Amino acid sequence: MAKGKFLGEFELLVLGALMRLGDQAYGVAIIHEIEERTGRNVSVGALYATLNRMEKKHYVQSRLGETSAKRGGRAKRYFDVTQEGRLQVERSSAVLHKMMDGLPAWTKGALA
Amino acid sequence: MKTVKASTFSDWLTGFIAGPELGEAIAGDLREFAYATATPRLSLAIATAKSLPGLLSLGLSNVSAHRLRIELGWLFILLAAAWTWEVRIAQTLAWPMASSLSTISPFSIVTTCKLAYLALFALGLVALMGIWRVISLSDRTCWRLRAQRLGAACVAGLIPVLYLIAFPGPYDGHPAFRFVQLGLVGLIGVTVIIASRKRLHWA
Repeated sequence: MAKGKFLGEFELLVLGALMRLGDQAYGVAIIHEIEERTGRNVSVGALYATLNRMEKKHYVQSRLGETSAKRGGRAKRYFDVTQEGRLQVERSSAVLHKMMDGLPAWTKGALA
Repeated sequence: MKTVKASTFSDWLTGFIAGPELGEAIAGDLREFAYATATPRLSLAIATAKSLPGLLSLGLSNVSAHRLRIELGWLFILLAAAWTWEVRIAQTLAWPMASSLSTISPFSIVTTCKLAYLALFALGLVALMGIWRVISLSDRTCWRLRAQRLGAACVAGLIPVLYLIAFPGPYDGHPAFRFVQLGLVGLIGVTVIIASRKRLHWA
């Protein structure tokens, strides 16, 4: 696999959140999902920079959603993982597990 | 529940950096975070400020390496032009102008000199805007990039002023050195433009 094909840690987190949220994955929901599961603070700018980069690589695709009062009338943008994106998640997870395989038990806990 | 309804600086900033489509989604998300807080405007400002590094990264990712080189080239040329104007024209001509105008000026000669300098400086700024306008008309790029280029031009115009504030007093080196310095800055810009222009795909 080419060097540039590996997903970064944050890309992997975002794709994981998208897969968990299904068709309800938009900015705020993705941030809440990542923060709740990892305890990591995520800014809107960092999230969209990553989503934009992955959309150019065809790992995700987006569509316009509905507006609401609490968004000041601004439309949501929903993101979905493409087939290519799912493939990349599988590859990156497999590589990560291969690297961790055979290491002491506590390191596996970190991957669970 | 409180909301921020009016269009804000945050909306403009996200739209400016990320473009109209992503900008709307980002602005909406930022508002949703600020929604229902006790101070929605402050929360919106804080969320926007925290998002700035990511937004800048997003904005830069939309600019190709070729485009970035071209813009850098223009920046060097504008810097050379601004510096030349400030050092060779505004500073040099302010005092002779003030001497000529002292008979009709209601101010002291020192104040007249300062006003003459400011007028010449403003003239240089107008010329800089004119150069920017010509550059913008010569390509078919989007308004966001033109606005970013305008920002860069203003920074280029400010650099010699900041330099003079940091190092006040008359220049005591050989005048040729200043021309060599300015020539080098301009040459870097021209070289970058020529090297990049052939392979450039306008945004």
